[in-house]
Amino acid sequence: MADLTFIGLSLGSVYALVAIGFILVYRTSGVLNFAQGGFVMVAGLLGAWMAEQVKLPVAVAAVVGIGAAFLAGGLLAVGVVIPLWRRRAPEFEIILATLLFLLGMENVSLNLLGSQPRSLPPVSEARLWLGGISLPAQYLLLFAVTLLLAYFSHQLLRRTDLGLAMRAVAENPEVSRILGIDPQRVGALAIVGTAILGGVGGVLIAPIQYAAFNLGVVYSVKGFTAAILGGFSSVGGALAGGLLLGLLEAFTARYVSSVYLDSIVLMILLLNLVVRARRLQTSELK
Amino acid sequence: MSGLLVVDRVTKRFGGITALDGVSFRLQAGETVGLIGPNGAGKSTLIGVVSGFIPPTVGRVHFGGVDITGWPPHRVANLGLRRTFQAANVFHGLNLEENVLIGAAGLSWSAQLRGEARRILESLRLEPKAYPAALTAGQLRLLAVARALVARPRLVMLDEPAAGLSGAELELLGKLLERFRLDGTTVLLIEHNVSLVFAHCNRVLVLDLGRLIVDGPPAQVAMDRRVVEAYLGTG
Repeated sequence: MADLTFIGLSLGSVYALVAIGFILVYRTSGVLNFAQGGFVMVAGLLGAWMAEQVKLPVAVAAVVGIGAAFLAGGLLAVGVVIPLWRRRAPEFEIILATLLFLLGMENVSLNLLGSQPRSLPPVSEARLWLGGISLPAQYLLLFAVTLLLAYFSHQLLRRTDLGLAMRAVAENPEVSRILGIDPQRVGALAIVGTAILGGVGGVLIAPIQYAAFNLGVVYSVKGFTAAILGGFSSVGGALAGGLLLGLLEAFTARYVSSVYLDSIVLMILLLNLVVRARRLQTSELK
Repeated sequence: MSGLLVVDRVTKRFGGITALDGVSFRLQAGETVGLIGPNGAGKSTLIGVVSGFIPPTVGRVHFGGVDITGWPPHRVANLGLRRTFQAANVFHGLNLEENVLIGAAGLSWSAQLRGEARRILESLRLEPKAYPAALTAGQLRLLAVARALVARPRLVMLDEPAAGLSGAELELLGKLLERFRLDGTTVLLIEHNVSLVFAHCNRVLVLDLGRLIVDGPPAQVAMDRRVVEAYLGTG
């Protein structure tokens, strides 16, 4: 039971990082960035490829992977989203653009790195004993780094100049502009910053699960789901939503079915959405 | 061109309506200047044009020797030209200290600046960690003025800051205007409260139907026949 909980929390950590990315970008720029899961995929796959094919040390391969996520985030912000903002494109066009960018990332990864799933060696082969069971240290590392990054994101929003600017832009971009804040710059920084978050998740999950070109969409959908589960408003909510989703998957795989895992989890999430929508309507009627 | 702000033959048309018609004036550094005029005279359009929110149809705006015509609002603001709105436009998700600090966006929010923000709030008898929901409409307006003050702008344009203020709040607003003057900030005060304008301004501009009809010291403006007819009333 304890091992399953830890596996769920580790898996959920990646969803949480993607969910935090969704929320930070949406709250500061109004953009639903569906490319978010692509950053996880690119970092994990390129990191694994660098370690396998170029024989780079694991840490260096991981840095290269995170660097690729950073560059992809920069390209999305500067090359796609900012030009769309400048020509005042409607929201749905920007969402479509992020989806196309995600598919583009997957396609480029397929062509350059191949269709074969790859795995990055763990940073440490050590195993930790927790409550009488043995767990690979990598699980704990991923979970601990996620908690740290969530805390860091929260502190960034609460304690720094950039965080205050992000919160101001999220509430009122027009008034922010007269105060000298450029909402486009803040939005672009959020996209790049959260691409790095996704990249870190990607290289930390790659030793636990395989990395493959077609996982970008999966991470985006699950991260978005986690963000919704967490209320789509705060870093803490996104973290909780991600971890909950990870636990749900781990327990479903063990006790219900690993073959129908995705179908079952997606059905539960759909039901959750429907029930929540009904509850919302009821409370509004009151 | 001499003058901190130079507005040069600015015209703004919205379709067939001319909101501003060849308006020209200059503000010198350190002046406190009032801008009055009846409703629909073009006062808000004028500060919209100067602050980069509304592009002029014709004419140029220079600030600190730089032609800022057509610049986006955040670039204008970062040159040291700030404005407030008729609506307080505070951030309800930020506490009062953060609401003041955000006015200094672009500066580094040092401990000194935080101290300054707290002192300004204390002078307004406001609790730094409280949230805007706890404030009266008048206090929200004062908060918006305080936000402009903390940035130590070279020029601030206050759009009807006295509207809806109680007597005590008007006194606090007077103190804020005094702080701007002591900081050397040039103030353009757009107000319907003529006694406030005459008490704090060394010069008054009068707009009517989009045209600048008078530019002079308060005593002269109060006696001007055109101003009395257009705005102050004959009764």
